[in-house]
Amino acid sequence: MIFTTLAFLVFLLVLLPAYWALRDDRWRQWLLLAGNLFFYGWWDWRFTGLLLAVIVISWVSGLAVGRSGPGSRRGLVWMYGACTALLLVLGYFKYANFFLGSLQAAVERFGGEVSWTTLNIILPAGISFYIFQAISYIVSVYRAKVGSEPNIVRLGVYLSFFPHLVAGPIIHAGYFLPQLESKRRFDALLFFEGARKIVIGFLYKAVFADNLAPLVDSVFRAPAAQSNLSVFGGCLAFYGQIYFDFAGYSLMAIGVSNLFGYLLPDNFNHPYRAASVIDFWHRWHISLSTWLRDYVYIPLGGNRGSRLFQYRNVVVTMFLGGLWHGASWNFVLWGLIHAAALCVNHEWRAWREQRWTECPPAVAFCGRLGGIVLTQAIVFLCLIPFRATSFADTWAIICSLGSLIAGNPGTAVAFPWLLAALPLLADTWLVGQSRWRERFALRSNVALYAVLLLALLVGFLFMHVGSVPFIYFQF
Amino acid sequence: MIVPVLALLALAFVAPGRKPPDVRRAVLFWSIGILAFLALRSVVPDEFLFGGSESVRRNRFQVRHLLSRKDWEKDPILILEGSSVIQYGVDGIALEKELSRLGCPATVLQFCAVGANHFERLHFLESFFASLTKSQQEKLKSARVILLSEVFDAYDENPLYLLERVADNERGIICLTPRNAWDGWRAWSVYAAEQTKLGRPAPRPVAEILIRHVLFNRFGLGAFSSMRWPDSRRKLPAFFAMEGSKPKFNYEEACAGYLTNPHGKGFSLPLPFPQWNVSFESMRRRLGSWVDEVGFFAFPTLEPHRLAYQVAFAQARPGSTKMAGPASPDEMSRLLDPAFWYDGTHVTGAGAKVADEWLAGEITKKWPCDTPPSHE
Repeated sequence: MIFTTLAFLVFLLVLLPAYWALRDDRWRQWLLLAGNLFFYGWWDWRFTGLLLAVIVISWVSGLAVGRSGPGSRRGLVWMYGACTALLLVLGYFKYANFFLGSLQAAVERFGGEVSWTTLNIILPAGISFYIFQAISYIVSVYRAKVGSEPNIVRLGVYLSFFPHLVAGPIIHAGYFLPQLESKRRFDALLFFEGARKIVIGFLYKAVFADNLAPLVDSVFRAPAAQSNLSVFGGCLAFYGQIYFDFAGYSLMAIGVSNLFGYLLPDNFNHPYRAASVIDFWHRWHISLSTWLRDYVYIPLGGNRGSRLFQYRNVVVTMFLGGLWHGASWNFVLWGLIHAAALCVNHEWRAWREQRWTECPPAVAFCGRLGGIVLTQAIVFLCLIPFRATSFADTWAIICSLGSLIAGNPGTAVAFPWLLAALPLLADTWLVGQSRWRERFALRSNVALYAVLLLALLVGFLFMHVGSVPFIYFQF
Repeated sequence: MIVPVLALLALAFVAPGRKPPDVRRAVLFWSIGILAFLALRSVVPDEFLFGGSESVRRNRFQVRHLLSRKDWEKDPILILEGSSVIQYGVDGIALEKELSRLGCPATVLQFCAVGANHFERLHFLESFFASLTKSQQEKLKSARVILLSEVFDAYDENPLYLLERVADNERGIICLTPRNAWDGWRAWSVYAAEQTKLGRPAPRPVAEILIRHVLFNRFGLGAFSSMRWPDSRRKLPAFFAMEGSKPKFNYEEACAGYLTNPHGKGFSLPLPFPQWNVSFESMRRRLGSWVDEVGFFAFPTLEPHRLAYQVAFAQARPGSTKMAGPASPDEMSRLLDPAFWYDGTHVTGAGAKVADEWLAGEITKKWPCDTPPSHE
């Protein structure tokens, strides 16, 4: 079920009043669990069994780790066992064909022949998200950050909570389980904040991202056939599309959770304002970068040790981060370029801190501006392998951009530059200014009701018709 | 583009007042707001709301074409409604010239589109009439208007044929007004019952698609998704000339298939279909007084089962109606050329020229030009 469909609206309009009509939180959690399974089964009911299996594995191993004692050797065995089982499930559904195909290609390249073929596997929606959450729960129990959850319904609600089930944000067990333990009371402020986020997310996704999608598709379908300027336009459109698509989904997920009285962490914080690659990863897909930091980077050793050791950890983490996005070498390349940029950024930061303890405001301002331009140029370029379907296309696009910079725009074509740039500029430089929002916000309930309604109706009128799936569903 | 950006900024810069907001009051406010929006929507014409859409641009072309002819109300007005077969097969302007050459000058208007079922075409026709001014409508009513409906088995059998293919796109949203959806649903229910009676698998339910699209239509979903102010100069001609042939289409095979049964024998379903009768009645009722006569036409085809349906329909059609076609084997012989067929049903641009000459001859035979308007 996609948030921007009528089916979801009906689902929400039935579930939400029923949820608040129940007085007892236990019944509410049962209702939520049923709703979560219905939501997931709407896409393909067969995979609700997989989701239930993940819940059961997590529940049993969480209890076993808890009983063995956090930090104990037996607990460690249970934790590794459960995480391995979960990763095997993920690996089978998501990576089996990728590795088989890559191996086949490698063998054939060296003149060999293989008898196997790739498997006919359907990738279950959101599998990466709920498996990562299950791992987060088991590891958190082992590290004694949360207690093992004796109530399988509660754990099931955490792992399968429908707003973030298929595309995140990835929530840490320590953030969400305590909310399930405390009594939910209707909070009008949270409810309206949720509604506001849903409408903003709707505009992001249905109006901005989906209207950019056809432009992006047409350029990336045959990049070699496009003029250099069109290729740049297509890349710029994708730079906007991926942000609005994913940030829109995350905002809607957070908003829907708020309607039910739950809080979810922010997943985006205006990443296109980032002045360094490190800063970018504190603003982009925050829940994934936090997860990778807590469950990959720090266990690998983090920044304890030599700088070379730290960079190795960064590269491994970003390699896995790239692979998490999809079973394709393009995503791996995307992750590795970001890793290289992060290492350079760390190196630069260390060098700068040693030499420039203080600098005049004008220099700091110029430095920040330069940092933003450079960071966004890197992010922009990294998105090319992320979207292109092959290395050949990636190379063709980079060559086109190179020619453009060299002053050859190619045949001029009409391109909706305003559509590609205006929402991004407005969102990054006006909506992203929290101080301005604090200072100039119109504080009125009637205005709030009116703006919510009008913005929704504007969204209807300007939305792209036809279904464009959320980009991050495939991950 | 500026409007959604302003909406985004408004959302970012609005916050609850000093007192906490009240959900009941908000729901009441929103309900009134939505009702007001729906009321406003019902008076805004599609021509404005969906100004850039394919349907409106097609209609615009026909309106301009009609008005470009001097004293258009004096000559008969021939309206052809049909599917892709007509979009690729009938060049209305060439047909007008041919009719003139045969001594029967007429204005030809075409309301056809790929995959357009009878109800989408009906919406085309109603929108066309609604987009004329009052005086133009009066003139049209005074003219002799003949509506020719295409005879095509798939669309006649399933009133909502190919609906799923246009679902969720602009065309699907525009044509499914509440009235059209309701009439479509009635005809489709009869079709579903007939399928059961004939022991065929039940067709996929369409209620959900219809309800969804009626809501989309009422809320003007995607009306301004082009992010452009509706440009009243943008028009779309009804005719497109096809070139070449469809991949995997084998002309020799199709031609041999036709030649084995050139009289279209061997069709034994109850005709006209009961569901077609419901669609036909809806059309007659809704077009009202501006159409003088409704007739039919069957476009040449190489496919035996389609030809068989055309022949059977010609015998079973409502008593007082006339029909152009189907083409006899002699008439078809002019069209038996591989360069004329895109596939067994659609002709190429070259084929359209020959087919249009045949159609003009059929029209003048069946609807002689000296008949005065009847205004039934």
